[in-house]
Amino acid sequence: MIKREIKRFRNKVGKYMDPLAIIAMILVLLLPALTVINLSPLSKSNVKTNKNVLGEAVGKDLGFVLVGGVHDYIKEELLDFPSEDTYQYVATIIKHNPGRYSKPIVQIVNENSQEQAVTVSALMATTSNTEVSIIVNEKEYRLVSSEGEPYTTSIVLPSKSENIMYLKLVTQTPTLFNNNIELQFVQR
Amino acid sequence: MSKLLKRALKLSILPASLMVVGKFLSVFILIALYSLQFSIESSSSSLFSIQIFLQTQEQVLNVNSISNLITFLLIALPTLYIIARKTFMQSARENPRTIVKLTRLNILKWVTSDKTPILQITIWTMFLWIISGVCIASSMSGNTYMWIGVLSGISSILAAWGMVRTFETETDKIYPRENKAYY
Repeated sequence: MIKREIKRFRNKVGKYMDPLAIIAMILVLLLPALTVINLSPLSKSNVKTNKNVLGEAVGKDLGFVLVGGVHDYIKEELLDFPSEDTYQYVATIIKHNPGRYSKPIVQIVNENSQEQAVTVSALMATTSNTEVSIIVNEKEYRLVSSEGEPYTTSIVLPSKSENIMYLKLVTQTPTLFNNNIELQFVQR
Repeated sequence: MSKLLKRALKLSILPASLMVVGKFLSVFILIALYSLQFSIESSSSSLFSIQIFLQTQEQVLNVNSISNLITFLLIALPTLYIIARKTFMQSARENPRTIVKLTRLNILKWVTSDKTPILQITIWTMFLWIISGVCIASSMSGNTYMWIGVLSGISSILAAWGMVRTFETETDKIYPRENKAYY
């Protein structure tokens, strides 16, 4: 009696399982293809041609290379060169809880025999209670105050040096929306 | 649930897993083998949030070509084997000469039992089309050697022809042609 009821129930439910099975079948065909495409490596030099510059050197022997990597809150990083001697770093800051967050963003290589100066400025797409600063050679430079006031700072890069620049974010209150940050480097 | 869908899902798991595992292992084994520097970078806008980056285009070409070839062979070889097995089986039933040839080649066991359903051939051929499409697209974008794209294209056409032939044979069993016996 119970077995017959179970069988009847399974038959009834089984009819409605067909569309799900078709979706599952499509997914089984699609997902491996997407996975194979996603697992295919790309080259950083290849991306450069699409104006998403991950490493570029200019005439004054100063090279900018995007560090990249995975970070919980700093994503979609791009390094662009809108004009000569100007580099632009753009990233998306994902909504986050109050705290201090930092990430290496750009490596600046000065292959020149003389020290070089770079002017750095930052711009946030929307004002938030986030203080933005950069750290180069263990020195911290403030770019945006927690009130949203922007600052322009100058960094001196020693000759024949490789300098990793860190982006530091300090947030006092929770940020509820994603924000975009733009850093501009002008070589002097 | 319909028996056909249930069976199709069951049969799809092996080629799907082979594709994913084959590509994953081949990429990372090649990176380790050639001691290549790689980085995994994130993006929240694309379908997948993680992308593997290598240093130069030559490294990308090498790793992509070999890993695509391995993944393609993991799917193509079983597909061509089951199609060949089915074709020989049918041919042996129609023509005794095939049995002699198979005996000479010592592959007579291929025609001793028919355990290859048309659904299995269809599923494997579909996966072969998918991986061929990926290889051809990758070849056209310059990330895989062209000969791998050509090889996968030819193999997918051959597999499609084999699948149609098998389908024809199976339908002939249901609707026999005149003056011809089907087993």
